[in-house]
Amino acid sequence: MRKHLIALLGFLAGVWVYYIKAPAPVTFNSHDQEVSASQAAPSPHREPTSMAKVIPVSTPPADNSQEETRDVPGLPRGMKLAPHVKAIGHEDYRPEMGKQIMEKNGFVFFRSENTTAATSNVVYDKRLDTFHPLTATIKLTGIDETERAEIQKNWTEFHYNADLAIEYVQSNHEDLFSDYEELAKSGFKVSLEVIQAVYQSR
Amino acid sequence: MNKTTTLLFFLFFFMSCESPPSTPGEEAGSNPVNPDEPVPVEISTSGADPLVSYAWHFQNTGQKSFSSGAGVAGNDLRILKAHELGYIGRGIRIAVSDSGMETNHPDLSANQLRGEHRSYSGAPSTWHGSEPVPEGGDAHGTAVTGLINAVAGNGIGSMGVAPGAKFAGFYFIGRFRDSSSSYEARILDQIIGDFDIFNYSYGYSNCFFVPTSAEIIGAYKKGVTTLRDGKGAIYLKAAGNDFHGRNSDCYPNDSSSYWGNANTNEDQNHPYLIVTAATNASGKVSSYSSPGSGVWVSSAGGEFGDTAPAMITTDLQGCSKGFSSAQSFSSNFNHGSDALNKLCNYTNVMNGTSSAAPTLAGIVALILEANPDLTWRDVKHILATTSNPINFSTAAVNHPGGSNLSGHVYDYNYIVNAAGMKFSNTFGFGRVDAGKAVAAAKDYTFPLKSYVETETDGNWDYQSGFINQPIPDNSAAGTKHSQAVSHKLKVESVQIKVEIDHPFMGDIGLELTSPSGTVSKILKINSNIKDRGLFGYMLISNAFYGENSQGAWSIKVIDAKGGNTGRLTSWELKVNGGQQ
Repeated sequence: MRKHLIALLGFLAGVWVYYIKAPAPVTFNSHDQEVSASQAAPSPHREPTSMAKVIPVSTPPADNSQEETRDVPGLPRGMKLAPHVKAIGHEDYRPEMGKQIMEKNGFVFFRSENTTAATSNVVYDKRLDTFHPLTATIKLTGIDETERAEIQKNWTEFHYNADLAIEYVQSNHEDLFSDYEELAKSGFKVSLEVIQAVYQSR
Repeated sequence: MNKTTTLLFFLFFFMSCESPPSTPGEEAGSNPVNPDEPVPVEISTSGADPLVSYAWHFQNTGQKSFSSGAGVAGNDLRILKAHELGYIGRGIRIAVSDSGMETNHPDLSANQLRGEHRSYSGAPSTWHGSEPVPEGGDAHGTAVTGLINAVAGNGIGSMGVAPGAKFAGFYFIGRFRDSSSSYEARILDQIIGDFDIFNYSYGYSNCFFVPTSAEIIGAYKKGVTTLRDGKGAIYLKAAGNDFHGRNSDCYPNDSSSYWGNANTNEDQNHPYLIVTAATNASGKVSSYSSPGSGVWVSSAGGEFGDTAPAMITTDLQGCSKGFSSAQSFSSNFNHGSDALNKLCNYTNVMNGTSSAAPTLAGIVALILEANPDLTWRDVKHILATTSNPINFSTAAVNHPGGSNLSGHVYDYNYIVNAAGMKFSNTFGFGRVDAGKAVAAAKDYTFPLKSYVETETDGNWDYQSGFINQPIPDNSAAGTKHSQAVSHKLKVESVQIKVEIDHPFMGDIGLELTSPSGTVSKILKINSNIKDRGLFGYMLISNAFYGENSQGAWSIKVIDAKGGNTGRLTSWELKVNGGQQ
C-alpha cells in the first residue's frame, strides 16, 4: 500500500508539472489537413469497392469445360482431376513448363503432358468452371494418439492436431492418389485437400 | 477541465503499478472499498496520447482524422464511456491472426504476450513461439493490432480500444505458399489456443461460394465449448469488403462486377463467430462493407482517409515501409510530413471490415473484463441487445445497380422481427456501443437457457428430401417450400443448406420465412456471382433472434433474370437457440 501512496504522490507531482509545462490541449480538427487530388486512388491494402452503378448481366463464365478430366476418389463433389493441367507457385513458373491457362491465388495453372518440376495436381471445378490445385497432404480424421503412432510407422506426418484428432500425412504430388488409396484401404477416414481460395486481408 | 481532457495519467498509473497487492483484493486498479468494482478511470482524448483526439471511433466530434472531409459528431463507438466506467480490457488475452506485425512497435511492445506469437511458415514444429515479423512491407497486422490494444498513456501515437489487454500475433495471412503442405492444418491451428478472443480480419472474396470443411466448423465449436474454462472463446470476423466487387479477383480476364454477400464464405455461416460489418464517421455503412444475413453487428471501419476519415492506428515503423510508403496515400500525415507523425509510425488510411473486427474485439475485451463469467452466447446477446440500429427504417431497398425485379423487394433497410429485434443485412443488430455493452455486462442476469442445435449425430433434423421444384424464370413469384419445426427454442440463429440446380446463381434470390412471418433475405437477386448451382453449402441468418422456433419455416427461391432456368432440389434447416 505504501508503494502505491508513494507512486500516487509522484504521479500527482507529475501531473502538476505536466499541466504547468504542457501546451494547451489540442483542439479537435486543429491539425486536420487537406489532401491532394491524387489521393482519390483507391486503397491498395484491400480490394477497392467502386460505388459506380453497374447493372449486372448474365455473363457465362469462361469455358474451361472442354478440358479432359477423370474421376478420382477423395475429391469434393463436382470436382474431377484434370490430368493434363498442373499448377505451381507464381515465382517458380517458367514458360517452358507448358502453356499458361490462368493464374489464381498465387498459383500459375498450365497445360503440361510431362514436367519434372514439383507441380501440383489440379482439379476442374464444374460449379465454377475453373481449376484448383491439390495439396500433397492427406487428411485423416478421428485419429487418436494410438492410431497416430501406428500411422507414423509407415507414413511421414505433416501435422497432428491433438485438439481435433486430425492427422495430416505428408505425401507428394506424384504419389498422392496411390497414397490416398492405400490409407483408405487401411480403414481410415481420409480426404484430399483442394485449395479453392486463400484468405486475404480485409 | 472537462471529462475528455483529464488525466490519462490515472490510466497509466493503474496499468503500470506492478507492486503486489498488500491485502487480498487490493490489486492495482481495484476499488479498495469494493474489490469487485474497478476504480473509475478517466481517459484523455487529447492529452498524453496525441492522436487519440483525431481518432473518430473514440469520440466523434466531427474531426477530419487527417482527411479532407469531416465526420458527423456523435457517430462513434462510445469507447470512452466504457473506459470511464473503469474497463480497459485488463487480463484479457487476444490472438490476432493476420499478416505479420511489429511486436517491437513502441506503441505495441508493452502489450504483447511474449513467447506466445505464432508464424505459419515452415515446419509445424516451428509455428508456435515464432515471431510474426512482417514481410514485404505489409502493415495490415500491425494496424489491426494497434486498433485493438495499442498502449495508452505512453505519450505517443494513439491507443487501442482495450489498452489493458494483451495480444499474441499470429502471422497467418500469406504464409501458405507451397501446395506440398496443408493449408487447412494452418487454419485449424490458429482457431485453438489459450486466448479469450480471436480476431480474424481476413476472408475470401465474395465473388463465388467458398465452401469450408466440417473440421474447420468443428474447430470453432471446440473453441466455444472448451476455451475460457468452457465459457467459450469469442471469435470475431470481418464481414468483407465486397459490397461491389470485381470478378477479375476470381476469374482472370473477367471485367464484370458483382454485388457481394458475406454469406458466400461458408466458414462464416455458423453461430460460433461474430461477423462484423463496417460503419464510417458519418454514421453510415462504409462504402465497401459486405452485407449479409450472417452479420451480427457493425463497428468502425471508416472510409479511405482521402475525402473522408479512415482509421488512425499503428503502421510499420519508418517512412519506407507500410502504409507510409504507399504513394497512393498522399496525406502529409501518412507520409511523415506532419509533426504528429514524423517517424511514420502511424497511419490515417487503414480501413475495411478489417478495422471493424479489431475495434469490436477491443470492445469485447472491455465486456469480458466487466464480467468474466460471460459465455460466448452471453457476449453475442449483449452485443445484439445493446447495439444501436443506426439509420433505422423499415423501408424497401432497391438493387444498388438498378437491376430490380418487378413485384420483388430487393431488401429492407431493417426488419423488426416478432421478438422486437431490429435487424439489417447491412448493420446486423446495429453499431456497437461500448458504454452500453459494458454496463449491460456488469449487470448481466444470464437470461439464456441451455443451448440446443437441432441436429442428431451431425445430421440436421429438418430435411426436405428430394423436392426438385422448378424455379419460375424471371418471376417474383419464385418457388416455395416449407418444413415444420417441432423444437420449441428461443432462436439465436438459423442455418440452412440449399441445393439449387441453376447455371447462373447470379440471378438467384433466396429468402427464409419464420413461423412468425419474419422474412430474411439470405441471397439477394442479381448479384452476378457465377456459381453454376448451389451445392448445399451452409448459410445463416441472425434475423430471427429471440423468436419462437416452433412451426413452419419456408424458403422461397427467385430467378430474377430470363434465359437460364433451374430447380430447387432440396433443403435442410437447423435452429440454434436456448430452451424456452
